[in-house]
Amino acid sequence: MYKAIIIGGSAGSFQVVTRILSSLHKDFPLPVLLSLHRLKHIRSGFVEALSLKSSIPVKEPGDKDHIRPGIAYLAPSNYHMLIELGSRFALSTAAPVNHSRPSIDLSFFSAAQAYREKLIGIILSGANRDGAQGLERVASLGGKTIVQDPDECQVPVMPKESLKLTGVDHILNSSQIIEFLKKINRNALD
Amino acid sequence: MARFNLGITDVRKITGALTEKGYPDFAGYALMSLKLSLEKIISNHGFKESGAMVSRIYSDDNFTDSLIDELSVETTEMFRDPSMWRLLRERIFPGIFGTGDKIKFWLPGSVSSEDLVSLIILLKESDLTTRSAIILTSLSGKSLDNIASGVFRSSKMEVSEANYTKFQGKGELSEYMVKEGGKFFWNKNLFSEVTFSLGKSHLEASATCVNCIIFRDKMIYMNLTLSNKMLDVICRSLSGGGYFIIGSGESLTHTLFDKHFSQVDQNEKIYQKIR
Repeated sequence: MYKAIIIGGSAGSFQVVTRILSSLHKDFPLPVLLSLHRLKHIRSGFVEALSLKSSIPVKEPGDKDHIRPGIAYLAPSNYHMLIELGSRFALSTAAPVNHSRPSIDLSFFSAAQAYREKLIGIILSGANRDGAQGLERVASLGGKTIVQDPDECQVPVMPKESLKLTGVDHILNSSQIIEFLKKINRNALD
Repeated sequence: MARFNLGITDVRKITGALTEKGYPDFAGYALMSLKLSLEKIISNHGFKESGAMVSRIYSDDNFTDSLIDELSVETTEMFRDPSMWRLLRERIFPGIFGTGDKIKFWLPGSVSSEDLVSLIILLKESDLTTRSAIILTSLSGKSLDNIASGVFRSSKMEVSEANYTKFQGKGELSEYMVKEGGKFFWNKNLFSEVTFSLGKSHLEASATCVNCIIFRDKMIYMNLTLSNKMLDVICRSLSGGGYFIIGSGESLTHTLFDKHFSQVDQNEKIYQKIR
């Protein structure tokens, strides 16, 4: 069974992430790792905004915090969020990638290594190519890959760049992504 | 093109070579960050595989020093987390400088100048320069040379100026710089109270009776074992009641040293050693 879900998003992804978080069961069985581009200088506010409608707790992990199921973890501002072996987070102040810190690629690289075929990687709306290489790594290490249907995206560049590099498993609109995740929930509870 | 993917065994071979060359710390570095930086460095240097890098570590000391500099991956900015620097100025400094003694600062494991120069500017604007002594240590000669040269990357200017404004500095950041040959440099006289020191391990204690240690976003690169060893060194170097500052994403929660410190403020990662 799967062990984690990682979601990358940028411009135009906030509403989709909010919808996903609000429709998950409150006992969702996996951790949801959110690597979303965000303003560098504003340390607070984003978690609170995502928490408003989320049915599971949303947190910004500290370095070396344990990764627990049923929690959405948002990459903190001005750090890269990496997944260490042994189900812990590691933060990094390495140079921005594609002008971004947090970088979706780096989160996906490390999650792919840590969870391999037990990871679901999802790329949502966004305006640059961050995430494309990351999703490719998820695929090459055996994980499941999903991109938001570019036709539905407010800004389709990120999903399109991902589709160029990776023959993804699914191209889904946001309602279908939600259905997909709900199915995981049902399977895990059965 | 897909990015180079380094196996965990390859990472271990590289840290093994570094240990044999006298740099033992990297074996205790957090694996994912280390792997990602090594992948980037291997690509940048045009190595086809990790074995070529291992040979080079054994045969070329200049390369190894430069590798240590590159591996210390952090890129920060002036006055990162301006509220932390304001707290230092408004709440911490009045206390530690209250006694009239000379106050000792230590910045271990430095790879760039931003925290150093932020501290120096803070001290200068508070009229405390001559009452302070700053020790800066680094694992890499190249990093030390860079820091001491005072060079400041113009790509960091915008964010640094924005941070300085939020810090509510007294003047303009540019007043502390000169432009030479298209590059920005910090005024040389800013470094007059700084001692620069080179060591091969973070665990070589460089200072005793220190009043304040700034070690921001360094333990994120260490595993818990190395973090605990480092905290032991830090604990022994700090005077009773001394301050210890780490990055906003770090904490002492998972370490063995949580009980030796109290957090001064809920939002900023400034700790005080319990006497």
